[in-house]
Amino acid sequence: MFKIFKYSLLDLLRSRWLIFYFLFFLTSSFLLFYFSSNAAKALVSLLHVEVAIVPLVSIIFGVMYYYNSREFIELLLAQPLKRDTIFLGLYLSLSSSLAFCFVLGTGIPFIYFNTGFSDIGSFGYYLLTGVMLTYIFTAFAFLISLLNENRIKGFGLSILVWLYMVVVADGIFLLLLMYFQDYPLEKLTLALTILNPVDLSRVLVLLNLEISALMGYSGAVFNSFFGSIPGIITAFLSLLMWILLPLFVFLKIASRKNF
Amino acid sequence: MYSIKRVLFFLTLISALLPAPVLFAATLECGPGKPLKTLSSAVSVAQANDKILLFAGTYHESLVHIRKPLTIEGIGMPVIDGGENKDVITIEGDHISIKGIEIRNSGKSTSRDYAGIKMVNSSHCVIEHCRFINNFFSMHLDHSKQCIIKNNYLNGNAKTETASGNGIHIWKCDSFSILFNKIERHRDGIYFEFVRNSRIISNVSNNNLRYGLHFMFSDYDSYHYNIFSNNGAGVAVMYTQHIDMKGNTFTKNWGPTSYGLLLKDINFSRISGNSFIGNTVGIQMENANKLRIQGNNFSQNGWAMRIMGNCEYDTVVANNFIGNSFDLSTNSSGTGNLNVLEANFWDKYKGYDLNRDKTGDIPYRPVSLFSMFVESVPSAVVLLHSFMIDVMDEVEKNLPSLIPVTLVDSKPKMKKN
Repeated sequence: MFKIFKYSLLDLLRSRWLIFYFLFFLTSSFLLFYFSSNAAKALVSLLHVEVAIVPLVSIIFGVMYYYNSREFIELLLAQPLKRDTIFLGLYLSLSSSLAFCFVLGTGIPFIYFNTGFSDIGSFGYYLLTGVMLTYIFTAFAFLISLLNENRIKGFGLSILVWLYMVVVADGIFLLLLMYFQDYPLEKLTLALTILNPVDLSRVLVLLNLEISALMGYSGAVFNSFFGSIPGIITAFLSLLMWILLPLFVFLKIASRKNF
Repeated sequence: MYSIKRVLFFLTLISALLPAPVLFAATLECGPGKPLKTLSSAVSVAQANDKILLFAGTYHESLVHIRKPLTIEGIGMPVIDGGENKDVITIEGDHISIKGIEIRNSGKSTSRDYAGIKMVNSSHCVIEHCRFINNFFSMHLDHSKQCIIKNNYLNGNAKTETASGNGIHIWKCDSFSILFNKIERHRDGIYFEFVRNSRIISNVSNNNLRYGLHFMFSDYDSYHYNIFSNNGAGVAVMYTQHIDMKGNTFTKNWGPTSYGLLLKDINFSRISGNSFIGNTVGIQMENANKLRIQGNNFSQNGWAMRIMGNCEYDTVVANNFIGNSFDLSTNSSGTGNLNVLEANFWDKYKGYDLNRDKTGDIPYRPVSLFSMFVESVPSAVVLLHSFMIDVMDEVEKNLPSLIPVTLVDSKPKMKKN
């Protein structure tokens, strides 16, 4: 597995798309840190980029990569190798290289502009959730492309998944809150937030910025939950579940599939 | 002979005309190694208008009652320790001044208002350069007028709201000046109830459990250039009119029920040149009418202003709104809005200025759709900065259908005021 991981990682890091992805984060964070008076403000803007772009690129590039390396996969399958090691190796190399680009792309400007390391805690959360989102959405990408031989269908479905997670889920969330507004909603809101990895990442970073204190009574409820050790553990377990669930289904189907 | 008689006559005339105490005022020394060992003995010995010099040391005294015009001046900051027994010093008279002493440990009670200095039915008194440490109420002043409280430091060590008193508590007084004091860790920093014609200038009130400054039923007062920070609920001005609030700073009043400035049932007042920085709510307005809010800075607040539907004829002019999560929110649909917003600078304004008159050509609607949602469902605040919400807000801003169309700044400024 490690060999496959190593070779495809090296291959990926040379790909034009990944360099472009890295440069995108580098320039956008560079500009945001440059024009914002403090790191916290820039982080709020970067958060918009993170929760929309990281899932989008991860899922689209994941699908693209899988379809493009079908022949390579078939070649590998002909070798006396365990299927789990092949697919896990490919998955890890892709998601790790994307995560690597994301971390370097935002980390370098942060260190460059923020020599005092203020807001280092919330930036840590920002990086961690960004990496988690990368792993989650590449897992989805692999699952989708394995299930669909048809490329058009695969791309369509991956965009749908992204649209659902980033936009539609929040809309449903808001509708639910409006519909049940006569009831105490703090627990429901917490549950819904934990169940959506994109929302969860956004809330985790926001609550670590100063503005958590500014969000009134409800904000205080979320802050006390996500500020506690059990809350943080629950949040990261949920993110981990979102990685493991699609990955497990993907490996399960891949091990039985007739290529 | 004749001339001596004449001189004597004039002397008696002069002494009869001049107030006698001025001529015969004495200075008493009190302290360790002096004939008078305690403040209470010095007060009982002293004649009206005498001056008592209190030398450095710790005096374990309480219930010192001053009824005659006296000046008590500390030399080297003497400490009067009340030993948690009722009031430490009580002032009941005119022309009494206390200067440069430290008062500690008044009694604490849930039914009586024990204080470091209690003032009753007095006038023309001065309390200056004193320190108040660990008292229940630091100063409890009632039914008095024309007094000055200046340059004091007050620290109440308050732990819970029920077991703590206010820093400067003023009840039914007139013409007070509260100047240059620093107040911390009390229940309310400064408390005004039925106080008229008074001014509060250049004080610092922070880390109080409830309000930094609390006005109730007090008209014709002003507070200028004070700093209120980290208070439990900020500053409250309630059931009052004709208050002038100028140049104050309200910062970091954070929490679920915290405001920089809470205005409730207040009329005919002016709020100008203040800074509201990093509060959960900058100004919360409930039934606040005919106010002029001009030239204030709102930055990094959760909500810069919340104007409830029962506020009418308020004018919000030439303020700066920078980096707030929500600039303005309201609980009314806004069809009958009677407030005026004009010439403010909004950092979220995206309009243009073709004729270069420094005023945006398209009106700005500071109430966002999301803030309307949050107003009706507070939990929805968890969706702040969500991709969907941002898109929705942008669409609504360009084609308003749900946000109050009348609450609008028709002449937004392009640059900071």
